[in-house]
Amino acid sequence: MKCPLDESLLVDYLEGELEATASSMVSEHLKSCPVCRTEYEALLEAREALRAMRESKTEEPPESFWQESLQAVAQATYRRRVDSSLGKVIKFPYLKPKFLAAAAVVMMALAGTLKWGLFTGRSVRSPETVVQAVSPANNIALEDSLYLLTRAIYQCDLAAMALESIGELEAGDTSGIPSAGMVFPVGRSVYEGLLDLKDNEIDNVMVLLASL
Amino acid sequence: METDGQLIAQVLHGEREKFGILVERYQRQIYRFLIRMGLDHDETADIMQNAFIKAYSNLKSVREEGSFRCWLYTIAANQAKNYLRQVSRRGVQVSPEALYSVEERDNPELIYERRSLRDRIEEAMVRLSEIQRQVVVLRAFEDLPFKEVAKITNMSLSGVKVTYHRALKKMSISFKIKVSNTKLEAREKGQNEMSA
Repeated sequence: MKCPLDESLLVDYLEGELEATASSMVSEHLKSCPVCRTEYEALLEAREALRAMRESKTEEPPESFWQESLQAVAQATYRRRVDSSLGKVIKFPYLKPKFLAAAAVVMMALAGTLKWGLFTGRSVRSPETVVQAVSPANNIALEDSLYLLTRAIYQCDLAAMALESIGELEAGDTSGIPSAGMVFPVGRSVYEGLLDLKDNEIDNVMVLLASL
Repeated sequence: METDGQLIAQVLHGEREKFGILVERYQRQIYRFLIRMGLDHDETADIMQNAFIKAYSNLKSVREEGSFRCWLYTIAANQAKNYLRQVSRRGVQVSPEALYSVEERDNPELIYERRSLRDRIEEAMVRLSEIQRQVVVLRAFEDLPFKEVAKITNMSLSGVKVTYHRALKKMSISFKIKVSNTKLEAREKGQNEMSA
């Protein structure tokens, strides 16, 4: 007579995954069939050995390893600066009033830097410094956006300082002032940074912009 | 506590830092899994981090609620498999980290007992094929349901059960060979002592 227990059924029985009726049928069969019983005992022995080993606590790396590992993943993923955003395709703008207001403030800040930043003589703060100084509650999305924004202003300021230092402005030559073509990709990176923000974060950006 | 699905939705809606919670939630499990697949600590750390980075990049593709864990194991398993193939390992050795127990340090008797168990299991697992080992680790050590094991290994449900069956049987045969050899050695040793 052919044995009714196939490999899959025996595994289900071993792992307790059969319903009561099927389970008792297999039990009965094992009592009367030495071939299947031997097979079952072999599986049980291996499975029990594995379980015993599982129960013994495996040595784990120190807590610092998990923190470092988390940091490494964070740096490579959600804390990654959006430096590649200049190469991205522009998305269709969100038409939320708050977003438009924030975008307008950003553009005004950029325009202001271009037009008046040259003559204010204020010190230029790097994007990293600004982000570090205002980093609110470890909010990475907001930090990223601020980084983009201050980078844009920083670039314009640096360009202005460079021009000033070589005396081109004094000579009346304004050809080196950042052009609309140059500002556009910078503005785009700011714009894309804003796309990632939620409403309350846009509020924060606007407040922070005012303090720059 | 937020579910995996809720955290993923939040990440996709801009709260990217929430991904850190998922990393914290699963990094120990993935580490244990990779160590038991036979990788050493450094290899495991690299592959585990790469698995999370890959998961983050493709987070939008996790649609089913509750499937993140399974998906993460799949990524880690594939990366481990590719790595092991790259270094052309045959008959993967279980790394010492997988077999070392914290409480054993102060208990010599336990060391002897557990070491004997570990030796048996180590020798038996070396004889398993890569896929048999993967199924055994996921089911017997990680305690995942067969359905999840099937998804991770890209096999049918019955295929996984048959693989598990054959792996356990192979391990059991390995145990018997080891026991027979030990008895044989003991007998030979006894005969040598008598004749001396």
